[in-house]
Amino acid sequence: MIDRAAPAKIRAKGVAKTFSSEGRDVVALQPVDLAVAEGEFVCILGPSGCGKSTLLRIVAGLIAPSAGSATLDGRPITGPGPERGLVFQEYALFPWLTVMQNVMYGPLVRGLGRREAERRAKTQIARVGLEGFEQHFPRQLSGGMKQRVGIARVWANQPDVMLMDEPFGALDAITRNILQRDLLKLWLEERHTVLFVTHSVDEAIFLADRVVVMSARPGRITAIVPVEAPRPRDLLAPESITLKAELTRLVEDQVMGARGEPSRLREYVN
Amino acid sequence: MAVAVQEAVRDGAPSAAPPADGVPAPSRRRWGPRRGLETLLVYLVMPVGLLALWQIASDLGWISAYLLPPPSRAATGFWEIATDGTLWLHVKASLFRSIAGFLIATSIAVPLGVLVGWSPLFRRLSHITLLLLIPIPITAWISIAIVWFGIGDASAVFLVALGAAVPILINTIHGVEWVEPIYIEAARMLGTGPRQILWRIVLPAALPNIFTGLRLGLRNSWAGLVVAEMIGAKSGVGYLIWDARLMMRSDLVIVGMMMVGVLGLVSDQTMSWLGHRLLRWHEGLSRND
Repeated sequence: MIDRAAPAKIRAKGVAKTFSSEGRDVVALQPVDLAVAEGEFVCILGPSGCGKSTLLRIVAGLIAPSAGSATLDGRPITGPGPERGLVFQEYALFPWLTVMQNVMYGPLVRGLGRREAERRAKTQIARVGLEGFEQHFPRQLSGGMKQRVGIARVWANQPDVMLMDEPFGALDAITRNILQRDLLKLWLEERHTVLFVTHSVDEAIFLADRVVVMSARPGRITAIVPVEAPRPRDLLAPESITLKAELTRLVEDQVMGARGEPSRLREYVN
Repeated sequence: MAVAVQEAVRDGAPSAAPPADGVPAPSRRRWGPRRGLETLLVYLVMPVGLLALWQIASDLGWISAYLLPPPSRAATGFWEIATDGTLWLHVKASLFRSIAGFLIATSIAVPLGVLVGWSPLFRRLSHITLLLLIPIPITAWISIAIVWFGIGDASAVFLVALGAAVPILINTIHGVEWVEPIYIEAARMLGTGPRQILWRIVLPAALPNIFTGLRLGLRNSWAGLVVAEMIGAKSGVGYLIWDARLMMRSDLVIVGMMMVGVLGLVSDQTMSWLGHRLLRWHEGLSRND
C-alpha cells in the first residue's frame, strides 16, 4: 500500500535518549531507526514509560537526542517549528484565548495577517465541528471539545506533518471513539503524514497504516506491523481480532519480559 | 540555595496557580436562583446583629462609654465631622495618597517582577536583597520615610507604594516563573519566536497571579497609609484616628477606623470587579459570567 521506495518524510536514524537525574543516567530510548513515508499514518504503540513520547518529542524538536539524528524531508530537526504540528494529550490550549483566538494563534504569530488567520480558523473550526463555540474559552469546553480545538489549532498552521502525543488518552471511551472516527474522516480528506503515539491497541488498529511496537524501558522498536485492511475498519471483524491478539501479545511480552518465539507478524526487529 | 529561593518566593505568595483572594467569597450556587432580598438579608444578619448587641450592651452599662462608645455616639460623631466638612478633607487626602502610591507601586513592581521572574540571572542577583527587604514590616520604614520626605503627602505616598509593592513583586515573580512549560512548548511548536514568548504567553499566563498581587498589595497598602498619616502627616483618616485619641474623642476614633474599613472594602471590591472583567477566562473565577 505504501510505496517503500518513496523518500521518507520523517526519518529517525539511531535516535537515542539518555536523561540524567541526580547524577544517574536513565536510558529512555535505545537507538531507534524509523522512516515515515509522505501521507502515511504511523502509530507508535507501547506501554507507559517505553520512550514513545520521548521519540515523538525528539521529532517535534522539543528535546534533543543524545545520539543519532531526526530529519524532516532530509533536513535535520534542530528545534520546534510550525511545519510539524504537535497535538498534546493535555490539550495545551491557551486558557486566556477564546476558541477562535486559539486557532488563529499560529497563523497570526507567523505574520499571515488577521484576515487570513480568521479565514483559516473559521475553516478548521467548522471541520472539527465546533461552529458556534468560537467565542468560548477553553474552560467552558469538555475534554473532547478541547482536543478538537487542539487539532484545529494545529491544522490552521497547515503543517507538513502532524505529531500526536496520546491525543485521546485523557478522554472517556465513548468520546475517544467519536474523536478517532472524526480524525480518520478528516485525515482521509487530506492525507497528511501523521505520527501518532498511543498505548491503545484498538486505536492503533483503527487508525494506522503501520503500527510501530515499542518495548518497555529502555525503549526500543521491537516490531513494525502493517495494517492492510481498508478503512473504515471494523474492530470486530475476524482479521482485526487476530491482529489485536497479535499486537496485544507483542506489547504484553514487553511488559512481562519476552518469552520465546518471535511474533508471526514481526517483520522488523531492531 | 535554589531551594531556598523557591520556598521564600512561595511563602510570600499565597497564590499558587489559582489566585487566592484571602477571604473566600460565599459560593453563589448555594443560594440558588433565589438571590435578591432574601440573600441580602442573610449577608446583613451578622453586621446588624453585632451593632445591635454592641448598642444594647452599652445602653445596659456593661461597656464603659469611654473605652468603647456605643454605635449611636459614633453615628453622632460621624454626622458632626461629615457635616462640617473635615471628614471629606481627611478622606480626600487619604484617597489621593492611596491611589498615587498604588499606581507608583504597580508601575515599578510589575515590570521588576517580570524581569526577576523571567531571567534566572536577575533572580539570582536580586535574591538575597529581596529576602532581606521583604521581612521588614512597612511600619519600620516610617522613620526613614520622614527623614527622606518630611511630614506630608510624600512620606505617606512612599509608605503606601512600599506596602503595595512587596505583594505585587512577589506574586508577579511567582506567576512569571511558574508559567506551565506546556504553554511555551505549544507556542513554540506553533511558530512563536523566542522574543514573542514573553508577551504572547508568559504575561497572559501570569496575569491571574499578577492580579492577586495587585489585590493583596492594595490591602497591604492601608497599613502603610494609616501609620504614615498617624506619624508623618497632618491630614487623612490615620491622622483623624490619632488626633481623636489625643482629644479624648473615642467616638471619632471609631469613626476613623470604620472609614478605613469602608475605604478598604470599596477599593478591594473595585479590584475584584476589575479582575473579573479582565480575567473572564480564568478557572479560579465564577462561572456565572
